[in-house]
Parts: sequence; structure tokens; C-alpha cells
Amino acid sequence: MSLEPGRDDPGPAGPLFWVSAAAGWAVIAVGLRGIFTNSLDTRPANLARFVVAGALLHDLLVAPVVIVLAVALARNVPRRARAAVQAALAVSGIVALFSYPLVRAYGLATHNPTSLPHNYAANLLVVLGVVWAVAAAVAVRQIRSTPPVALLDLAGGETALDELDLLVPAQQGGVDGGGDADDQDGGEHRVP
Amino acid sequence: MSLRMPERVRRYTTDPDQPLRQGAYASPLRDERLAAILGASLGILFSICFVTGLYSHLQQNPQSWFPIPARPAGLYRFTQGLHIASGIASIPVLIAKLWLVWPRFVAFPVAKRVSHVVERIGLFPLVAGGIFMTFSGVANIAQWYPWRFSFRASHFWMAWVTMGAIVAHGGAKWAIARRTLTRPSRRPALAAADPVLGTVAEAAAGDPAGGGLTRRGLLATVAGASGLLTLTTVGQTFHPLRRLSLLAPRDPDVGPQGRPVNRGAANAGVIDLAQSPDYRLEVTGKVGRPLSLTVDQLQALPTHSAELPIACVEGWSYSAGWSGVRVRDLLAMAGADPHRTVLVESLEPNGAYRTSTLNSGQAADRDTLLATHLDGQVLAVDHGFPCRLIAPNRPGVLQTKWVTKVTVL
Repeated sequence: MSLEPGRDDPGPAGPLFWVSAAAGWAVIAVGLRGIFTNSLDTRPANLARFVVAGALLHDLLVAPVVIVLAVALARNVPRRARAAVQAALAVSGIVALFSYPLVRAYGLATHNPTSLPHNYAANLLVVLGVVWAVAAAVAVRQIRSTPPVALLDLAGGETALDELDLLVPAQQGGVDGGGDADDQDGGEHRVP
Repeated sequence: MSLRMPERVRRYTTDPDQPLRQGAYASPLRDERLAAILGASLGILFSICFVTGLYSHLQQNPQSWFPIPARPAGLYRFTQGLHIASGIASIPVLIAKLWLVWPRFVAFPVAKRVSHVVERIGLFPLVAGGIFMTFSGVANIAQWYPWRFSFRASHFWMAWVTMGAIVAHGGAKWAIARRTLTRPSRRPALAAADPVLGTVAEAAAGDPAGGGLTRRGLLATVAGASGLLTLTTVGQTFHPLRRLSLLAPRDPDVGPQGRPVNRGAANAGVIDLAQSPDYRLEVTGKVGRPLSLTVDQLQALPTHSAELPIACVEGWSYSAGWSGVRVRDLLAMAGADPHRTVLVESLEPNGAYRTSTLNSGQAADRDTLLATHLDGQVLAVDHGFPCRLIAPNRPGVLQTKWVTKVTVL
């Protein structure tokens, strides 16, 4: 897999790597120095807690949860609706994440009557409604533009395309028909 | 099910099309290409944030080597609106990029050579910095402060850490990104691999890969999410889209006199002081004739009107008609040199922004006012009654309200 350092990946090297590493770390040093020389404002211990927590929260909670959701989605959503559902779920999650502090209305603690003028919970629902309406329209269009019933089994996750795959051993690298997610592991990994 | 867990995790996460069958037709470079596109977009958006943020910092911490120009009047409104909008638009890109490369954090071996070690250490400030910058920015515009540090100082210094990490990462990825972005390569179409099947399948599904998001679909989703967040927030500074800003923390038409404020009179503790008969506007310092004006005297001064924006650092803004006495006229009345630096002080007993400074160019500008009226009405006390500073090309926090003292330096 090309995103992983592997046998054929020589890794970063060369003058550009070292020059930008030196420049980048010099800029990082400026930031760290600023944090520590302004410690009355930046409160390094408290700041470090938030910086580390953000990364850990993503790597150990958000990313695994997204993966579990993605697997569940692949197993349960019919193939031709999958793209639309995946996109709608991703957009919904991101919009909800952004809206969280607005919906929780933390800003009202500042007692500024012009802060947070909307009903953000209701507005979030409206935005999500639009997202899912668009996704539904896309999914319907996708389904309508599909071939005759003879080619595709509308009811199951298994489609005639799966059968077609069976006929392409050169690309597919193996025989792995069937509709469940396990067979999705096929593909380039099986290329000898 | 026969696969070991790390292998399964790797496949589900490194492949943007998983769990799909499209991997069968993939170019071996497609993940790199997507990562490069997202990374380059993120680099551009974060760079915009960095430059506009630096400008905002210089506005609030004036440096002698960078005198803030008084013109163009709407410059700060534009740069700060862009700062917030770029930051918001970067959220989906950041999330998608993190999702794409997440398996690399659990990749083994950790490193094979020194440059790998250097690169991987740099990923921590990159990832943690990127997450911190967007999280703290979003929390700040929602006025949510779950931390004890100063937002302004920490957001500013962490921006250097993050930007440095971006520079280092950009250097490490430059060659690979350039290679993947310049070549027209996409995965070979099924039609190319097998004309018969390809034609059938494409005609059948309009998507030879089958059900899930394609790489292009993922990019469209990210762009759609960025666009949606922008559309639903940018109306707080871009008035024509105001009705779409369902998720904006401010509405430029909501507030006293139909205008928002960042700090009301009650919060500032000035309600009584501002409305007291003892109020005076004093003009002192290097002046020929110190002035001390009551509210009536202040409002009787020759007025000038100007259409000027209030642009908050938090990304909302509005433009309004202000009228009041020009600062340069006031200085002339007091017999002061019109080309001097001026310190403006508020009635506010405390607060980080109870004073602000006008450099000589700003003080002499024709539209720099101590405004007594907003859109033709006497200023509401939340807007700074009896008078407030309003000058072109300044952050809202420096448009000092409840002004009681003008000192010529």
C-alpha cells in the first residue's frame, strides 16, 4: 500500500528534506519559545494538556469509531446507495462536530445578548435535513440510472457486478464473489 | 475473517475506497495522490490562516517597523473574515486527511533511517497542532473557553509550531506530492483493462467500481462539507449570505440598534459611568489647550459621517454609517500637532482592551471619528455611548467604546 513506508519506499531524503526540516523546526522553536516566554498567558501545562488531548482523542477515539461505522455501513447499506450514505454521514459528522459548542450554547456564559442569536439545535437539524435530502436524491438518481434488473439484484448487496468481477482475475487477483464486507478485502492485495 | 487485525485495520483505513471493490482497479499511487491533494489544500488554507493571523496580531500588537496603514478601510474586515472562513473550511480537509493517513501512526517499523525518525517526530506538532488550531479557533468563535490559557496568546504561538511542522512536512512530501499531482494518472479505467466488461459495467452502473465513494467522490464530499460550513457561517461577515448563516455564531443584523457587539455595557461595568452627568471627554497630553467636554458639548461639535466596517477578530463584521467628531479636528481644537500618536481610553475600569492607540496616519485619517451616532441614531450604551472610536482598517476590539480620554503622545 503506497501510503505506508514499505520496501519500495526510500523515505524522505535529500537536501530539500533537510533544509525544510531545519527551517520547519526553527519555526517550531519560535513557537515553543513564545509559549514558554509568555507562560503567564499561555499556561504551558494547561496548553499541553489540550494539545496532547486533541491528538489522542482523534487517534484513539474518533478514527477507530469512524472505521467501525464505515465497516457497519458497508455491511448494511445496499451497494448503490453506499456512496451517498457515506458522503452524507461524513458531512453530517463534520457539521455536527463544528456545531457542538453552538448547540451546547457555551457562549451564553459571557452574557452577551448578541452572541449565539440562533436556535442552533434546530438549525443543525435543518442543515442535516438538507444534507440527507441531497444524499437521497443522489442515491435515487444512482439507482434509476442502473441497468436492467437482469444485471443487478436490487434486493441484496450482491450484484451482477460481483459476478463480472469473477471474470476479471487479472485485475481482481482472485475469485472472491459474495456480498459481505470480507470480500472487500480483495483487490490489489491479492495481486501476487 | 482470516486476516490478522492489523492487516484488516490497514486495509480498511489506508484505502479511501474501502470497503469497496474498487481497489481491484486501483493505481498503486492513488492514495498518495489523494493525500497529496488534501495535504496541499490544507497547506494553502493553513497558510492563509497564518498570514492573516499574523496581520491581526500586528494590528493588536503594533510594531514600529510595521505601521498599520489607515487604508484600505475594509482591509482588516477582509483579512479577518478570510482567516475565520479559511479555518472553518479547513476542518473537513483536516479530518479527511487525518483519516486517510491515520494507519501511518500505527505503521511498523516506526522508522528505518534517520530522516524517517526526523519526519515522524515532526508529525506530532503537525497533527496535534492542526487539531489544536482548528479546535481552539472554533471554540473561540463560539465563545467557549474550556481552558485556562489565553486564547489569543496560545493560538498565536501554537500557529508557529503548526506552521513550522507544515514547512517540515511539506519538504518531506514535496517530491512525492509533485510526482503524484503532476502526472495525469488515475487508476486504469475498467474499459481500458477489459473493453467488453468495462463498457458493460460502466453503462450499467455509471460507476464501474460499484456502490461506495470513489476517490473523486471523497474529494467531492470534502469539498461539499467545506462549502456547506462556509455557506452556513460566512454570512456573519458577508452580508448577502446572511440568511444562509444558520450556524454562524453572530448575525450582523442582531443586536442593539440592529448590530451585534462583542462586549456589552453591562459586561464592561460602564452602564452608570456612561450615563452619569459627570461624564467628560478629556483631550490631554501634548496639546496647547486641554479640553473637557460634556455629552452636550461633544454632540454639538462639527460632525463628519463615514461608512466604516466593524470587524471582529472572531470573524463577524458589519458596515454602518457612523457620525461624530473627527479625531484630527478634535486635536486641532486642542491645539495639538495632527500628526502624532494618540492614546484613546475607555470608561471601562479594566479589561484587555480598555485603551487603544492610533498611529499618526490613523489619527490623521479623514474618517477616524469619535462617533456619537450609529446609522443616524445616538449610540446605544452597548455600542459605546457617549462616544466610541471608529477608524478604518482596524480590528473591532481596538475600536474603543465609552471613550473618556484622548491623550496626544
